Amino acid sequence: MWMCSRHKCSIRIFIAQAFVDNVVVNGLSTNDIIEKNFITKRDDLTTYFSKRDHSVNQVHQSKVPQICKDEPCQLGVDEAGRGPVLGPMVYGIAYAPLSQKQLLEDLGCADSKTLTEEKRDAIFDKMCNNDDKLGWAFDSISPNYIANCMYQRTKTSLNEISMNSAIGLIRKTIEAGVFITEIYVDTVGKPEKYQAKLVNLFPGIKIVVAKKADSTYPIVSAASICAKVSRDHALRAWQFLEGENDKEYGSGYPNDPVTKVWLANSIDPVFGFPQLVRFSWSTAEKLLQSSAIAVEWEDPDEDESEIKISKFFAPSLSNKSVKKKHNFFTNRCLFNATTL
Amino acid sequence: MGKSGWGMGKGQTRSQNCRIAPPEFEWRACESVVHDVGVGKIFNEDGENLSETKNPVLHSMPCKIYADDNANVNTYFKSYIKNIDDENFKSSFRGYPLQGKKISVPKGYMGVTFFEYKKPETDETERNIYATGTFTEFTYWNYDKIPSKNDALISALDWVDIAEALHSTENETTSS
Repeated sequence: MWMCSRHKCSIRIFIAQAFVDNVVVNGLSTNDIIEKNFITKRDDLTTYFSKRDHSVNQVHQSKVPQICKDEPCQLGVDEAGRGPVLGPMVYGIAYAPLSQKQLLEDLGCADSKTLTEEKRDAIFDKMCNNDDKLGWAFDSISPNYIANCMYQRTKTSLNEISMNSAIGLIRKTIEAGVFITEIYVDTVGKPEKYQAKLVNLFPGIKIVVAKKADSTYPIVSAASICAKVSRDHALRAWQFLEGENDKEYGSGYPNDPVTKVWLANSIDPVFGFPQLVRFSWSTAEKLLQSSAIAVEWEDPDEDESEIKISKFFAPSLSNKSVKKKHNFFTNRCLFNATTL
Repeated sequence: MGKSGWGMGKGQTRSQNCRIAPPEFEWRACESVVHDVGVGKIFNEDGENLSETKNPVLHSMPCKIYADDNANVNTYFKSYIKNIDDENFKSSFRGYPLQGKKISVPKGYMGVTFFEYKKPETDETERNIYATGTFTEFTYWNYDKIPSKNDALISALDWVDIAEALHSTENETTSS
């Protein structure tokens, strides 16, 4: 299978771009400089996501308030956008001093699923206004990263991706100097197993992994709001590298009629979908099976095929006259070409 | 609709639209590539006619794509290619992780893309295969595996040196 193109230069531009992104100034990369203190209000999320590379994960941490370095803090973890076929899955964390428990309730941090988008936005705004008392962070996991993980030769499940993201965010927060004494996590998979894993990784910190933690613990609700608001903005600010694309893609959930229409209208016969889509979702796979060009991959499990034992006893007819080629050629799939 | 393909060969491929007689190709790459000549396609972006692409940028994909048509390589594929290190790249195709490496056509050899409008129905009839462009390098992509000597296509290039040695005349024989 060969693809050819004439515009060699665009590859060079891309390489140059990647290089600029990693310029190191006084030990901090340019990315770090932009990210530190970059998002101070909700509108900044739109700016942030519209300028980011959507094909890779994006982590952002708010500035750590001094009080969170001095006083013991609780930290909540939750995710948004696990089910949708479109857009990133976002992990969010929020932390605040144990002395500020009342603040979280005053902000209205409650079960995020009972909140409307407007209410979530309003609470996020209030969280930003209280950035001297609480902090937050998100990890926006790109749809392409999710598909890549699930299509690896050794597959990484969505639960593993989730846990790794949560663990990464907690680590980064501790490294940033936050004095964490309690961690509350909304579970993926079995809570007991997840809890044991976290206890092992973060000794000395009280860890609670529970189902529906976002409706039980206000700090998890805050994390959930942070994740959900970030995902909403990431989805809306999506820039298509694939060129012109309809922006009416609905919620991104497979059963949303708007999303269904968008998916059906966004098929490229060869490449499938723009990278807004999680290719590994069955909704996407089924659509490509029925409406795009067939693609066949080598099977990663396919090793030397088993030979039936009876074959060694049967008279071989086929191999009699065939001269066996040296391994050098068979290993390299080389053969004599006498015709085209 | 005809079929397009590619190859690397030694010898004269004369000018554009010449007929390539099989003996001019002393060497062909691995089976999967030969197979792809029949199944896969040369993609030409921007909807241009294949025969107008004189210096194509080629991507060898690690999967069979059952199509013979133009493709939006620039926007859907190239725009996502990233460097892993100095020589390896990464990208995705339909959500599958790919790792790639640029491979140069061996010295003294020439990469040629070609096109056949219609394969004659009988073996006796001469086939007309037209050279549509030449190339000196291409990107070889693997599915979730850094390209290495373990890959048939890359190790097939060993044959170029070995063939050279086998067919060269011994001019500096060591006296024993």
